[in-house]
Amino acid sequence: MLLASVFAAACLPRAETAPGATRVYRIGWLTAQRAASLVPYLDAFRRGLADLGYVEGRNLVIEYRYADDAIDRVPGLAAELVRIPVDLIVAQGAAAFEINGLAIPIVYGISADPVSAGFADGLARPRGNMTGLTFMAVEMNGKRLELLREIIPGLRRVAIVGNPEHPGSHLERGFSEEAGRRLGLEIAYFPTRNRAELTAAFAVMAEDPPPAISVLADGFAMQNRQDIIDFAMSHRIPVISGWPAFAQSGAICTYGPRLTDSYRRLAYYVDRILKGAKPADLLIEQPTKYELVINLKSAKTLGIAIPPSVEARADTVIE
Amino acid sequence: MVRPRLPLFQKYFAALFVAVVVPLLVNGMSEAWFGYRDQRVFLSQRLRAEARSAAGKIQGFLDDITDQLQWTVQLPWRDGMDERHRFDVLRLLRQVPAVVEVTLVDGEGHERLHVSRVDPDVVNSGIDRNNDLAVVGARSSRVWYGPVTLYEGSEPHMTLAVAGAREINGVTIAVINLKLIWDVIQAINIGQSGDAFVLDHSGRLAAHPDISLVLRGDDDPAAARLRRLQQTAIASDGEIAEGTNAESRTVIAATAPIPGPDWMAFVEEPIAEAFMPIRAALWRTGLLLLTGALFAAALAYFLARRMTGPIAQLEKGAEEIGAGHFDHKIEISTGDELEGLARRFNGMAVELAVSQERSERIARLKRFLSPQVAELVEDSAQEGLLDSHRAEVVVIFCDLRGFTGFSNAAGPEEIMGLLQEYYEALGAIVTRYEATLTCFMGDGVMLLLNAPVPCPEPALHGVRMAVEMQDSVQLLMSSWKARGHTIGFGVGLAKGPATVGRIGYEGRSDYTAIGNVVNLASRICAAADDGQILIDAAVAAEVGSAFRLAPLGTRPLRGFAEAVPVFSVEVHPHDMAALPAAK
Repeated sequence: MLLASVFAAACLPRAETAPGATRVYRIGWLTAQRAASLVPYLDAFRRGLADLGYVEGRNLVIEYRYADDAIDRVPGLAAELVRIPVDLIVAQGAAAFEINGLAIPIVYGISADPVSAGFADGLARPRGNMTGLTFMAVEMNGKRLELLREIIPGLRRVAIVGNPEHPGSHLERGFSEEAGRRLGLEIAYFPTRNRAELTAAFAVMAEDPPPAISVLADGFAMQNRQDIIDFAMSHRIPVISGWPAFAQSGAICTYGPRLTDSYRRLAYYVDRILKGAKPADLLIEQPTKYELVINLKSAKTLGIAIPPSVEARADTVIE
Repeated sequence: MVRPRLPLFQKYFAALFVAVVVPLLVNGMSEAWFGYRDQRVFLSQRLRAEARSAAGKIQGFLDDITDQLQWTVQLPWRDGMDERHRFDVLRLLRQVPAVVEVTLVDGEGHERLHVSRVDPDVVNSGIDRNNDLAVVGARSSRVWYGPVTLYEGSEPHMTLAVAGAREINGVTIAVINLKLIWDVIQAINIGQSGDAFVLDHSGRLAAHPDISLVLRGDDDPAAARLRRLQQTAIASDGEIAEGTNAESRTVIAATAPIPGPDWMAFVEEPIAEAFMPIRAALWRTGLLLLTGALFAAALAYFLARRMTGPIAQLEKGAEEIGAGHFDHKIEISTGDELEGLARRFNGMAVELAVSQERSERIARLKRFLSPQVAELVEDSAQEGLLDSHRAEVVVIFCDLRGFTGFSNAAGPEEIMGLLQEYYEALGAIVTRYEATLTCFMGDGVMLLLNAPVPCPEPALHGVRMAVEMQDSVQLLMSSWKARGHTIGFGVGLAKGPATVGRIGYEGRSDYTAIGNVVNLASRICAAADDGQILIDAAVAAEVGSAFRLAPLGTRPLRGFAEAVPVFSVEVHPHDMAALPAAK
């Protein structure tokens, strides 16, 4: 009798350890850029998802939508994603500005200041159903000028190329000018909203080449970075910017947030929202890790010796 | 069948069921109770170990930073060393991502260098830092941990200061971004969904896997819940505490101090998950109990049925047998005492059938034989009495007078009707006096006394019976006379030795007496007039004292060489009441 009962008990199904039936989540990846320029960041994002237990093809489907540098295609792609439908959209960079007001949650990773962009009333108070990360650290602009001065002894003048339409751009410009004053640098600001303005800026700079150019990173600058760097190199002007992609394209150095970390962090927002958190409850985070990338090849081409105090700090050196 | 008040089936069922279920229940409950207690102890130990481990990891994270900071206070502040110090700081920033900014203070307490990851450097500001808490703290205890502050209202920062071995090496003050602890905290998993987090001594969240909770600051309701949990944990004095965590889930938590910064590491596990194993065990026990109960019920039902089924069969059998169905067989093959009982019942039914058959046979025999003979015939033990032997018997003959004439004139119905009344009257008396009726011959009857059944005073008994017979028939005759039939009734008795026994052949035998006395009685009867009872000398000798006798002198009787003395019993109708009653 007891034996029979024990046997019956032993035959009971073990307590289910795996979380119930796996639900397949569907998210959209939306960007105005081309696939090729985002490979390392997308990888970091997917790694982040994998760390949180999302495996593409098993419990996650990512719908990729690239506008291939045609920003005006973004709303159409967003509408496509909504029709699929997806649980949420991860909007990379400038794409986030084109899809305000969608009904589904949006997680963004933007270089802009979310407050200036109207996405939040403060970093602790995201608005609507959007939240995410900002890669912007306006103070970094001063730090970049300081780096330039350290690399180029006797630096007096720096040209700044930036898109005034990029939300928060005015803050970056302000910080740059303020830091310039403190460092004893004369700042020349070149607003470049479009190709025409960029060409015009090149024309002005060609007249009297500045000793250095600091590029305020945004979607437009990213898209035209090769032209900017090619122009600068042809006039033997070292370029500094915020994102490693610029150094890879030939800028002498970049100093800014470690974007792979930030993209990886985006996965956390995706996870929380898929699990039911409201975007408004997820604070907008700023970068916590920074990276310095030095392009020694460009430095050599320009005949610039990178001082050891800078080289010692470099996270990546392109030889 | 009357339904019993407490049927056996219910009693056996209940008893057997209880016998199995109670031990099972006791066992199950004690197992559950001890299981729960053990699980709680085990849980407490495990969580406290986890808490110590978490505290160790956090302390390790801070110790790593402190160790790295030590590099910056190994060189003294002498002229020309500024660049070396700066280099140390740059390498520190490169090495330790958590450090946001570093301030170097020289031996005199003046700020010499401020390097930030985001702000431009400040060199030789010369600000007097002697009264700075960090400097004072570091100088007195080598390492100083500042409070957790929220930079720009959201980023959790902490100031850490270390002093060199010599005062001239100065003090390094570093601001640490506590978000970097996230990597450490997130890597700690308690059970399946448990977390670890850190509160500082004022109850402010220093680190939590949900970093937005840390960034949200003190005003958040989640932070208040965690402070309450902290108070419970402190009150429970090292044991596990129950409370609600930041997500309002009920958890159990254990704590361990992080001595350096005076923080407290918490590990929490949802209570539902923590007690999952014991709950699973409880479910198992419950199921076991249920299975056991069902099994017990089935077993009890089976056994009770086995027990009461045969009893019901026996009861039904008894009822059948009681109703006279002796051919009813009780079929029980349980192999136990009940089967034996059933066999007895069946045997009893057979015996009852035999005895009933016998009594029926006797009843049938009695219709033809005198009851005494019939019973002797049936009773083999006394059958010996029927064997032929010589005995001193009283033979009684009686018959009707004038019956032949009547029967010639009357119709058969009338003859048989009259004979019917006559024999009914006689039969009742003969039966009462237990006389042996040996044969009828038309209206004549021969009776025996003292054979085969012994009779103590056969002569006296016989005369009494004769008196009663005479009286009874005389009463009948008065009604016959009214109908115009002149019929009389006479009785003759004689006593003497005779050979008694069965005569006849296979299938038909009578009991009778052979001897002179039979002839004598018959002749005396023939000599009797209507209403007369004549007796021989032997009888007269025995009843003379009880009855009035009238000697009729000797009479010549046919078949007897000499005349035989004959007596008449004088009984008048009014004397009947004085007669001694037949027994």
